[in-house]
Amino acid sequence: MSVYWRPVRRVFPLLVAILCLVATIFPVAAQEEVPVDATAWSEETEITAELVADSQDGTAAEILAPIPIQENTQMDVEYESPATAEEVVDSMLAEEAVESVAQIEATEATGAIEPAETAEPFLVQIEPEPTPESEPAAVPTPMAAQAEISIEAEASVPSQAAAPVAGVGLAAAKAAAKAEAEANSYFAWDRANVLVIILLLLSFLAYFTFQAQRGRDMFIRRISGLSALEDAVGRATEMGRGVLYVPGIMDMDDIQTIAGVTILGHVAKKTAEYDTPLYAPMTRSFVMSVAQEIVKQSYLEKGHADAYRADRINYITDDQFGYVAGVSGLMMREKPAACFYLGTFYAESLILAETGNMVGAIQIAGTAEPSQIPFFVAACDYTLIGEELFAASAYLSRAPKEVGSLKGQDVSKIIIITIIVIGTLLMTIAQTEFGSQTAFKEMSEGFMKFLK
Amino acid sequence: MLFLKRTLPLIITFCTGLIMITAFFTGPALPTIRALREIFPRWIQIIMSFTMLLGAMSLLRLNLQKISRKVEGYGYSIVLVSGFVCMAFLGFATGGWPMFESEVKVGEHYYHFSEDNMHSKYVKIVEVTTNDEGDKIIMASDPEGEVRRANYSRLRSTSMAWLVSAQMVMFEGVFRAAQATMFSLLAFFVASASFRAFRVKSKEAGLLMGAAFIVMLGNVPLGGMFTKLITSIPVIGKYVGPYIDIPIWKEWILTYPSSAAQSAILIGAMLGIISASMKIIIGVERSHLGGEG
Repeated sequence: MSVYWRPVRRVFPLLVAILCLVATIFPVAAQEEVPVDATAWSEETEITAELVADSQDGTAAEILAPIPIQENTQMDVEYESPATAEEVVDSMLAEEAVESVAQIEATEATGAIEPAETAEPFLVQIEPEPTPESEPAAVPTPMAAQAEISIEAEASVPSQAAAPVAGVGLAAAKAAAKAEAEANSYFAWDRANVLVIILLLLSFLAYFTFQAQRGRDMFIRRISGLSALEDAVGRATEMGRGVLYVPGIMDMDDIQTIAGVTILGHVAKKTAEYDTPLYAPMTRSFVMSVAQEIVKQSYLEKGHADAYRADRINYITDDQFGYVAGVSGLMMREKPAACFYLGTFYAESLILAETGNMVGAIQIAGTAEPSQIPFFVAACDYTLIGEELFAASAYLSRAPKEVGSLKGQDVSKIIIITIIVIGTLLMTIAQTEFGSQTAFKEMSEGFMKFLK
Repeated sequence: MLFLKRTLPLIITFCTGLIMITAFFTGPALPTIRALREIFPRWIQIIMSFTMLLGAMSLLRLNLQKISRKVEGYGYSIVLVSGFVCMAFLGFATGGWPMFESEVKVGEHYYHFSEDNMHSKYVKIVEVTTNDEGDKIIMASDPEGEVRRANYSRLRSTSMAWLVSAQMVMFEGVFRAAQATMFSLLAFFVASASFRAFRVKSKEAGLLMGAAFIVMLGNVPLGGMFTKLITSIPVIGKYVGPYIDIPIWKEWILTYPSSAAQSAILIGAMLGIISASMKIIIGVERSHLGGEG
């Protein structure tokens, strides 16, 4: 008794919901991990004298000079450990900020700085300087519009110099610790997202393959180029002419070449069945030996081993244009009625396709090279675009294992599309006036960080 | 036999795939495994060099058979075999230099070739010394009598100079020229393919035609001139002019619809590549080993 279970339709919305949840949770979680001092020292909020000068009418010195700051005597604290030092610096920064706010409020009250119409609290940056002569300090302050303030502290106050210097030291220590942790890592964490995608894809492949093997009927959309394959071979048979097959110009270490020679096996079965000559000139000798083996096996399976001609699957040259010349010559001499170009192609794609057109052949092309697809679309009768080339084997064989894997690939694609849509929406909303002031901005940043 | 032909390759593929995946995700703490990412692909070159011999043998056998049977067009095979033998001989004969190291003697004449082997000077060796590091320092005088230090690896005897020159004539004068000729055919084929593609037979072809027309126009000065012309028309230019900017339209087409479509193709292709690779590693796809997948 077999239990027929159809979880996909139920699971799919759940998966999408989980994805949305992850997209929401991740930035929040990431936000919590960001230490306060790191936020304060972030380059994105860094305020420099030049920036201030650019955004104000007066000079940097005029803007920066009037704000005094109290001497902070607590900076003389000796650090016992990096963790303690970090805490001390954090607390000092906070205290310093509170004091400075009070100071500036007092200054505003006395009219030293004109208060803004719409007072917005924001974080102002302390700029670390290597020399003790010009030590900047910063405070969170209500200020006018987009004005940003960097406060130059008194040069003669050594205790004020200690805060940024200590902060820089801590940041360097943190970076060193992080680098050390990365150097001792057994796993390349920067590639974790790739692993997630591969595992996801694998799980779908396994699931759908399993389902297909259990007899579940799976729909594959019609691919015109592959449906026309048999017709093309049939046409060549009727016309008494041959079939030309080119599996690209790259070697067997290219996945498109592997896909190309896989389809060659199916084409060879048809040519064996119809007893049609099959010409397959190769640009790599390794591909030639593999192709010979595949074609031979196909002819054997169809019971026409005697019709197999090894000399028709021959090596021409490794040179790109030398190969094109050889294949074009073969086309002009043999005038094949059907031409297949399935694999990796570069500049030779159009020369081959146009020569095939000149001899009046029906042409089916396929490649995953985006730059060559337009040429094939323009010059060939049918074109397999990108992934269709890799789906060809499953489409032609209809083997449950292959069809299942194709289905798994499709589901992965839907998930990727969902991620793209979520990312696009988040980024678009974050760019708007409304979104830039809400949690959407952080969410979009976190989402992009997660994807990277 | 079946084990050697099917099972063993599948085992090797699985193990290699697993190692490569592991190496890809391994952190810096395991440098030996990480190094496999660079080492494994290099091994392919060893296999390739062996298969090169296989290809050469196949090519020669096929064409010699055609010549011996005098099949139609066997004249092309004669040209091919002649070229093959000629270039192989010249390559082997000239590629072994410096093979006459001990024969560079003072007072003898040699041809001193330029770096690209395209030019040479007839020089006379005036002095041969050896420095502290054991390198030979050769001073040679050119026909004008100027004495200069000669690069040892570029000195050729008269017979060798003839061979190098012949090789360069064949390579630069025949091979490169033929290569450039084939490449230049593209220009004509682009024109003929575009002509066919732009015949508006359906809505899709119409869209293609429209987009291609705008991109073509935007790439030539005529596009900008047309925009200026529209803007300069008194009434139309005021209301329509700001919206008709062919170069901007072109940029928009290339930046948004075109790149979006290309990204979509790439994403699909990459998924297909991952899926196909996984199928091959696991052994689901085995058509490339011959027989049923």
